[in-house]
Amino acid sequence: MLQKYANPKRFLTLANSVLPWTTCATVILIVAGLYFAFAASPPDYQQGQTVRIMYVHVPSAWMAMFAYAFIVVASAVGLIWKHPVAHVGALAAAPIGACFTLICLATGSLWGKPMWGTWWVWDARLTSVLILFFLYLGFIALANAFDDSSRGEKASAILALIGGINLPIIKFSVDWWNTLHQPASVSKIDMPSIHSSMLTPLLLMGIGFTALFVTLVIIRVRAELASRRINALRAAKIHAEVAGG
Amino acid sequence: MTEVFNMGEYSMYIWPAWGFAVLVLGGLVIASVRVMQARERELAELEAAKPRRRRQKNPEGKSA
Amino acid sequence: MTAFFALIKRDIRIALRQLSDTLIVIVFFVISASLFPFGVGAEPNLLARMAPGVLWVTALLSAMLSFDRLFQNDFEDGTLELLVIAPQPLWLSALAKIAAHWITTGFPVLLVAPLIGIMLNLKPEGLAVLLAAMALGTSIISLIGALGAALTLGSRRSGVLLSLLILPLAVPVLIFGSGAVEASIGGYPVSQQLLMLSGLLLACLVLCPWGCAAALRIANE
Repeated sequence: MLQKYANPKRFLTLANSVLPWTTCATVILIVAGLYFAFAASPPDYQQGQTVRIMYVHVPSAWMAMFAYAFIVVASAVGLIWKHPVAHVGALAAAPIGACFTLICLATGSLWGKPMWGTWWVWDARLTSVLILFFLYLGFIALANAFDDSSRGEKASAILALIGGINLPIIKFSVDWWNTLHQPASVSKIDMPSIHSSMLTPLLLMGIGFTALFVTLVIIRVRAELASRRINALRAAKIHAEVAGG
Repeated sequence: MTEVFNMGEYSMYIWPAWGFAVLVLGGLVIASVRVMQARERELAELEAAKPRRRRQKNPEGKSA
Repeated sequence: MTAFFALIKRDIRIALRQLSDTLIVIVFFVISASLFPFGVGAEPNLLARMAPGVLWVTALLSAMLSFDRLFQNDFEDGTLELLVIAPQPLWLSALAKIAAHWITTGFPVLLVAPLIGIMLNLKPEGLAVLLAAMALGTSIISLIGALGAALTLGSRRSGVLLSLLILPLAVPVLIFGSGAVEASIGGYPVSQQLLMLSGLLLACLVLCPWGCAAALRIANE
């Protein structure tokens, strides 16, 4: 099953048949999610209207982790089975994951200002997401640092595996650190626990973001496969000209 | 409808948060689609040019 | 195993010949740590409170200066290719190079750290724990750093890239390292932090040489 889609052409056939469905799902789910997030849900009893920031913040946090998990799995598949499309998929997912992480950080900060009174608190969860953002930046930078793209994708795949193993350790150590250094001046409204009126918009946005992620990965993989094919054709053309002339 | 857009004292935090998300994701979608279209157009041009080159090569092969 | 020790000896000999490389790390460590009193003020209590964190952050940053040459020379002169095809498993050779790196840069940093601690008014009770935690911490940093060096081998601007890759991965070392020193100053037990550091060291001992070997193989393809 996996080996079958190692062939870029076969993968593209599958991806292109899926693409219209994921695009439709993205639009419908996100529009529905927006309706529930703004019109059909009450303000929270504790955080008031700021709960509406949660409907973009929490799904982005989910996607930030989901995208990294996707990269780790794709990198492992690429390294173990020498699966070329898996490497391309990992590289395509990285900027998308980084964008979701950035959104998670920015919206968390905008939620924190009215709730905590400051733009940034070294809260365990925010800090872990910040480090996750750095891991994304490292992965993207390493993948693009080589003239030979196959070198970059393999090196970044190893980095993704190491990062994937390290991430739970980082999360644990940041939690541990946070219990020692509680910021004292901050009012202790925790990030909210989910209750039922929040569940519908959160889930709709979450699944909508997942569909958006899949759509974007397909689009970016198509772009990358096309540009590789262009390079191969150009190289063949130059080769033919040199041989012919 | 105005009730939906008026989030009281917190408007100035809620709308920037959503605006930022829309801006980043929208930018990502537009950039990804544009790059894909440009690459695929370029690839189509290259592949369309390929058969012609082959036909040109053949007579050379015969003459040699 | 003879090849393992021969490789360590060789790397130490090369490091002694290029002593300035090691000295730069130490000098950077001392200078950057002594900048803090200028930045935050020389009030003894404040410095004493900040000392553990300052020591760990500056030690970590100064170590960054030493990694870009770890495999670079061997990569350029072809030694690395020999190590890849040698009968000794590549992860063992990588471990030997990491050990040599720790002896030539981690260990000197360890020796200088108490001096800087005293300059920063670190309480004497913290010094023993500082040494123990730094011994574990610098080894972990050498292991992680070697992995970064192997991954960035032959890339553009590898030095900057290396820091971007390693520093986020080194956050747990920083947390538990300075946590141990802080706890010892406050009179609390430090076994938890030191055990966590030991656990990290063991995990890195398993993972990093393997990752290094994989990365070096890719670099030599």
